[in-house]
Amino acid sequence: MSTALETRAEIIKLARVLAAPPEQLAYLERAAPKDLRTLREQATDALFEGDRDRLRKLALASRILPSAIGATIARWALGPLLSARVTGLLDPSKAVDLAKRLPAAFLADIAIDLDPRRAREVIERMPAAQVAEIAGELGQRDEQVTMGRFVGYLDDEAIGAAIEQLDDASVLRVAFVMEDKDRLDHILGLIPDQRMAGILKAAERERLWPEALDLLDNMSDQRKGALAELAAAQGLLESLAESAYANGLWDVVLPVIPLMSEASKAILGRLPIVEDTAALASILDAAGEHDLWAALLPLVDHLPAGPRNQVAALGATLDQTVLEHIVDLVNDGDLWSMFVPLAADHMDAVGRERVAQVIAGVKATVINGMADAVDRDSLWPELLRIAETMRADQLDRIADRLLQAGLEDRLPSLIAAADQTGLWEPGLRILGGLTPTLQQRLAPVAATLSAEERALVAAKARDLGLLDKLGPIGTVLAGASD
Amino acid sequence: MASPLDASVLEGELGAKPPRGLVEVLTTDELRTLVDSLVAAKQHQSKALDDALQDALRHVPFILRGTVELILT
Repeated sequence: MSTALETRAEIIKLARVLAAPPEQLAYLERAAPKDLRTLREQATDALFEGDRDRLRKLALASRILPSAIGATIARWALGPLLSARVTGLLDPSKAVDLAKRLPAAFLADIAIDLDPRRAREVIERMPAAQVAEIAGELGQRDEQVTMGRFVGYLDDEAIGAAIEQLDDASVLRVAFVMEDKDRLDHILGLIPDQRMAGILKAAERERLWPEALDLLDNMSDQRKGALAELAAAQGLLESLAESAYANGLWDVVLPVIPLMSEASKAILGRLPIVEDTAALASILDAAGEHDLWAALLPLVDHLPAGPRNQVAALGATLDQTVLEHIVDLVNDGDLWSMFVPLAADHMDAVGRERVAQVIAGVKATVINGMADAVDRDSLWPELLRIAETMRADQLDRIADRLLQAGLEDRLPSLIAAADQTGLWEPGLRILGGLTPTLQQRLAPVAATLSAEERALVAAKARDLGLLDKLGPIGTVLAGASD
Repeated sequence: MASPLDASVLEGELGAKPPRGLVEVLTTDELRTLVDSLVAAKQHQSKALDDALQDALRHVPFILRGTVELILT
């Protein structure tokens, strides 16, 4: 919950305890919500302690009175506030018996003033049907704050019954204001998918996405993923994303992306809002500010060309350290098949050069990961476009790692890519940058190329003045062209 | 910011040390207003309880009234 909303909710609760209008406590808006909650609990305790003796006597007297009379006294003499104060002192079974004889509207009044900490056992023993009835009353009065104080004390059956009495928007609002959200994930698990779909639609209809998104913090990854799937299936991702943009909540939404199915990611990637350059820029800002690149990167594959170009352009302007971090994440998530084409095909020359500088300087393990992906996903043409901007010494540094893991396969692929793209120079410089040992091992592989291919490669190497640099490979190739 | 003296008055009314962060953001006047609200709430509850206990006896059957009155006093 946003701090302002949380503060507002706490002031309303404190105002009830002090029997004062909330406006009279407006000066407390500068206080932290957790401090207000502590103050409220202290004030509740002080009010209770101040009349503890008389309240205890009242509870004692209730023991000798038939429940019907006790209920009459509660309703017509004590009223809801004092009934609430005395509830925690009653024998729990007596309290439940009294409650059976009171109308739901009066019990709802009591609930508003009741301190659940002092009446835990009574609340736990209340029959689910009666809890549901009271929830229905409180729902009609928009008393979500009151219900939010009790959720943590009710068992699954009572919560399930109460949820059935509330409309979809109320369920969301109660979840938003509920105290001790540790149980939230479990409680959401009690709600069937069909009902949850209705709740998500209510979030859209009643503009409650900020409240809904606020709950994500207290959900398991599994639940977040399931809800995202539901939102995608209901066609709600656009309004959710618009709300995240309008309310600056991308940092809440982005972490959910990796938990979504590829189909839902595809829906998300093709939302109209993603084509809005300002909105996309805000997404990238949030990813940078909150280090959410790992969450955002899996979406890039699903972006149309326009937004992908924008991501590439903005990516190319990132600090060197951020780019290095992103390349590490790309390797960790095996996202090279997204990243290499993004840099090669969507970045301008300056952007490609910056990526090339980063790749040239990364750890050997990262180069190995990239080389494996390039070979596996046939990304040699794209890699050559990036390598084109590397200096000779940089190519020398990565050459061995690019080829050593699969010499037999990678040499023909590299040559085919150079031929396809016309980028012979970076291709041949990679071969020239190999250590003599690797060149020696590659020579027999080069010999397996067709005579035509060997002649072509030799001619290109000769034209570029690189034949000598190819060592034993060059010798094999030159033999074919002599 | 409120003075330590005002904070101690609030502590006396609450029966517990108020949150430090709260005391730090309130002015002396605001803290006094808060104390006044708390005192008023206590008085209101106490008066309501007095009235309620008197009223409650009216609902108790005659045969039990003496015993209940004894418990309540």
